[in-house]
Amino acid sequence: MQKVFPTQEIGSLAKPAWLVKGVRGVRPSPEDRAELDYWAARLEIEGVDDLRRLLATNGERSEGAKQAIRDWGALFAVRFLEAAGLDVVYDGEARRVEMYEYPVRRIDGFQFYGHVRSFDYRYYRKAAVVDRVQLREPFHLDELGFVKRHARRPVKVPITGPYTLADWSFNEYYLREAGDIRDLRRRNYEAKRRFVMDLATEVLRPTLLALVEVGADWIQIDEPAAATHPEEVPILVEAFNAATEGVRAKLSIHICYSDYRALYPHILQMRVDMLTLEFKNTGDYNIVNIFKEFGDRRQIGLGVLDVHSDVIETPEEIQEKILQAVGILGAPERIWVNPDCGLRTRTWDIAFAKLQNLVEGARLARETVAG
Amino acid sequence: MAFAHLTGIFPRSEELITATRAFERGRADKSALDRLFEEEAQRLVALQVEHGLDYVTDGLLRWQDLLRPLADELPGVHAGPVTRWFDNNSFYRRPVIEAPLEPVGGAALRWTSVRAFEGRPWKAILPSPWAFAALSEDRAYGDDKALLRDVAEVLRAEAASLAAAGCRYIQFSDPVLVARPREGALAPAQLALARVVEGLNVRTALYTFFGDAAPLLPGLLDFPVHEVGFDLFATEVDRLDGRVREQVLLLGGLDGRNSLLEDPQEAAQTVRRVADRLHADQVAVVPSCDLEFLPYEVAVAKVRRLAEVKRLVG
Repeated sequence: MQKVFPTQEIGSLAKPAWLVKGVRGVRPSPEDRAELDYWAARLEIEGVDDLRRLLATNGERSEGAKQAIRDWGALFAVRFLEAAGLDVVYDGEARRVEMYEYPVRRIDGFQFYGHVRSFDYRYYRKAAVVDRVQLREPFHLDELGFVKRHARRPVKVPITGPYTLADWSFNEYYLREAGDIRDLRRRNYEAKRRFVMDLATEVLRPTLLALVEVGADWIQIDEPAAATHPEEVPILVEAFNAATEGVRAKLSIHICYSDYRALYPHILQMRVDMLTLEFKNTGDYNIVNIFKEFGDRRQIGLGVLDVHSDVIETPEEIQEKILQAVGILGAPERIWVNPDCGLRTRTWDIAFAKLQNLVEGARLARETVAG
Repeated sequence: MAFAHLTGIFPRSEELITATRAFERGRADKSALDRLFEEEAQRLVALQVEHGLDYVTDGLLRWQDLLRPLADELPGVHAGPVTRWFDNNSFYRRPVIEAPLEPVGGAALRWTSVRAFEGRPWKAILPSPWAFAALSEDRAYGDDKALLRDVAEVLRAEAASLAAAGCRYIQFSDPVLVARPREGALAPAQLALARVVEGLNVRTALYTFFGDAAPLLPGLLDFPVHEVGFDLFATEVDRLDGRVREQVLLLGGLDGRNSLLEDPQEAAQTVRRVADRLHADQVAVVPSCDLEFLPYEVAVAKVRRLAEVKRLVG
């Protein structure tokens, strides 16, 4: 990628109603079908009659039919991101329930207990580790294979990192194992470390190696929990390096909604090519100063879209933020441009408009820098 | 002598979660949802009574976060950006203060299911003035002292409304003091809380969590409240130093952020050890923080375990 300010997605897109209902065996409503028709036309997706036939009936679907519907969901998302103009794409995580539950259901040693709240009326299912973790089999492989066969742009595959998987889980097994440590804080720390490292070496690393085997040349490791416990950043870094040992691919880490200062200086030891971060939600782009202050010379994915708001950022606003970052870092070749996080809480109309403006804003910034 | 009660927001049951999701998607109306909230509050009160908790709460089931009733109801304040709630995988909407605060009172009371208590001694939970000020974005004052002063007046009015409605115990939650410690914070935090509780005819408490309380002792014990406490899972207990005077010591001996049910003997031993270290005659065993970080059934199990630990502490 030669040009400055290349653009990329970060993660999830909203799953269209026809996809969710279709997999469940519920016939989409006229509104759902209209949405399908609209986006099929807008994204110039061919052969959609096959999908319409799959969705035409009510009732339990065969595994083959479910797979086919999910394939369509992935294809729509790939074309969506390409049509918005992004340089690097994926499938909007169309096949994944969400970033925590999907991998955890594929790892032995976990037991789901029920929902906990994220905020307002948003919840997620949380599991406890009740036994030593073991990978059943590497995941995301078929999903990546499909995207690579159909994408017309370079591809980057996201995967949830070991620290976040541990942090978002209850820790029963490793806490019991560390029961000989009397101090409750030290017991928790050591139990967490053992949990994270087992996830890194027994689950993530074999999966990353398998992803490279099937063609991954860029892997984004999602660690939204990264900076929530500053005293645990050494665990994050140790685990990242252990998980990526011998993995021959470009590596980026995505961290959103955090106090980024808490990551330094330990994160300088992380063997990663790019840090993709959130800035738009807080509006504080001077965080970029932190990278300059600590002499971090890696690539930065600048978050320029607020994924929790329907306000469409203007290209000029995005251009200004990019140039602000250039002014601080003085290294346009190190800056990538992306949303703060996944866009799954926005409708496709809103997400598309935001991404189009992101692409245009990057283009305007590119023109300014070239001029 | 040992007591036990809850310290914060209780998780919603799976049934209530389904109803809130339906409401958010426009598939259920507010009156139906409100009814479910009331019913669940009643069940939660019954659970606490069944297990002998000394004060009951309604679980603050309708509160989206500790600050939301004030953020939504105070004139000149609105609930702003989604912001991480300390070091948890949960978020609050940071209150944005756009105009000088007015102590209108009644906001927390309107969000409380008073009918669920049916005359039993009940407990309310409010943010401390220090915590509310620190966790908000100030666009009106530009002067920390003036902001803290007015926040204290707001919370004073809130506490008065709760007391007038029959509340017997108000806990002021302050994770900021311990999780985001600042040099010189204790004095203004103490003064502000003193203003809130001045003349208030209810039992009051200051409860801290998510951070190490050891560096703030013995100063924390000087706060003008009947009960003071901290989170045993975040505090270096071997560094605790001080002597409780007549206060009840609130000890967060059950982890509100992990599903593992504590061994009751070990938990009771830890509570006794800390109480002895601080020369406390009276102790309340409490969860380390809100139980909202747990799924509903796990939180219910923690309530049962809490009662057991209270019995063992004696």
